[in-house]
Amino acid sequence: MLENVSTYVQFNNSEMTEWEFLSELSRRSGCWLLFDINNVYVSAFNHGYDPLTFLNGIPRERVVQFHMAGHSHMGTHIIDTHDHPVCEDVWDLYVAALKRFGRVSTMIERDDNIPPLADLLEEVNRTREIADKVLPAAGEHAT
Amino acid sequence: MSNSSEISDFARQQAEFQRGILDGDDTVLAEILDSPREKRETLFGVYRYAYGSRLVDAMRNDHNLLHLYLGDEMFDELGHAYVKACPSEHPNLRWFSQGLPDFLKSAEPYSNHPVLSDLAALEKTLNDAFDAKEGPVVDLSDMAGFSPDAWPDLEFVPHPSASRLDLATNASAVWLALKNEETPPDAAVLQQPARLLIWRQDTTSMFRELSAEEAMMWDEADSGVPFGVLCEMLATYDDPDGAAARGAGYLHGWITSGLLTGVSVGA
Repeated sequence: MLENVSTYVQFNNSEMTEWEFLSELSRRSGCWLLFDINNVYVSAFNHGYDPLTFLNGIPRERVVQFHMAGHSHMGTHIIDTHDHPVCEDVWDLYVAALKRFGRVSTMIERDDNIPPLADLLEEVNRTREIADKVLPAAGEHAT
Repeated sequence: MSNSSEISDFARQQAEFQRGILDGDDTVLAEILDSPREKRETLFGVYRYAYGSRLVDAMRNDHNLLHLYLGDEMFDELGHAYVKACPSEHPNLRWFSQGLPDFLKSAEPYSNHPVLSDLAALEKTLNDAFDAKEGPVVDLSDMAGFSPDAWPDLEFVPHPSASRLDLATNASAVWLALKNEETPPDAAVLQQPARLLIWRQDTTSMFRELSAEEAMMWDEADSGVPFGVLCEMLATYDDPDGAAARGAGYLHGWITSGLLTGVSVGA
């Protein structure tokens, strides 16, 4: 299983987008994908594309886990620091990810500036509540 | 473009990217795009900054008392000097700071303060003891199986976590004070080196200071010298009449501290 990263630069000689590359990698190798929703948001902001274009460019059947995290907003760019609560834009993107990929296991990542456990559990519960709302018949979304 | 020239072009770009991070070389910037909101120098700077700061973070983890002793600013300065002088050569971050005691011993201005190198060496050895292999632990009841005749021929195998460290300074007192959140004593060079024995008992790394005599006996036992000869050596060190009793006393201490992994009758 491979995870999409947060990126800060793009090269002038790239021949495909990152989502094309990840999709092709998964198709040819057979690996599953860990879809980090915050990383998509960070890279989309840093490079000026729509995060939904990335999301919709990833094959539905390959994604088996979500990661959610906070980041540091520097104004002109965002750094993936895992030291803040998940931001509202990333929660919105989570809804879109659930609709596309179904209900897959979701993890909140927090590496620094760690809050009380109750705050983290609240974020975990929020993922469950949103998933229940977006996909009410949990486990039966495969149709 | 052929496949192999694409690969070599990728290898070139990757090498330039690495040089850009490690040496501040800007060649790779020619192939990087500005973003809609920011210049490429700043964006590439995220990687430059993150590389050094993550390595220094790992050093803070491995050497949290040295960090406490020096404070954020001095420790980070030292950390970045180490990152530059001793580039990472191992894919596992666990080994990155292994060379720190030697670096502090040889690089100015740190080498002018030998307590720094000693403190780093003590932390490193405690970390290494924590990570050392598992091994059986000799129990006092195991000793009952040996007849009195066999004792002079007994040979000892230290626990895999056990090691000796000689410190020229009072770094162990500084370590203890920092660990207990007390003000550390002024750094001082000792008249005689402090002879430390470091090991892991259950899941806790421990150290204690040995007398010159016990340190001698431990070092000789570690190199396979049997108990009878160890007692003869102790007899030349101090009161010969009490040598066997002192040897048995040291041995008792090692066993109750979980310092031995094997005892056997040598050939």
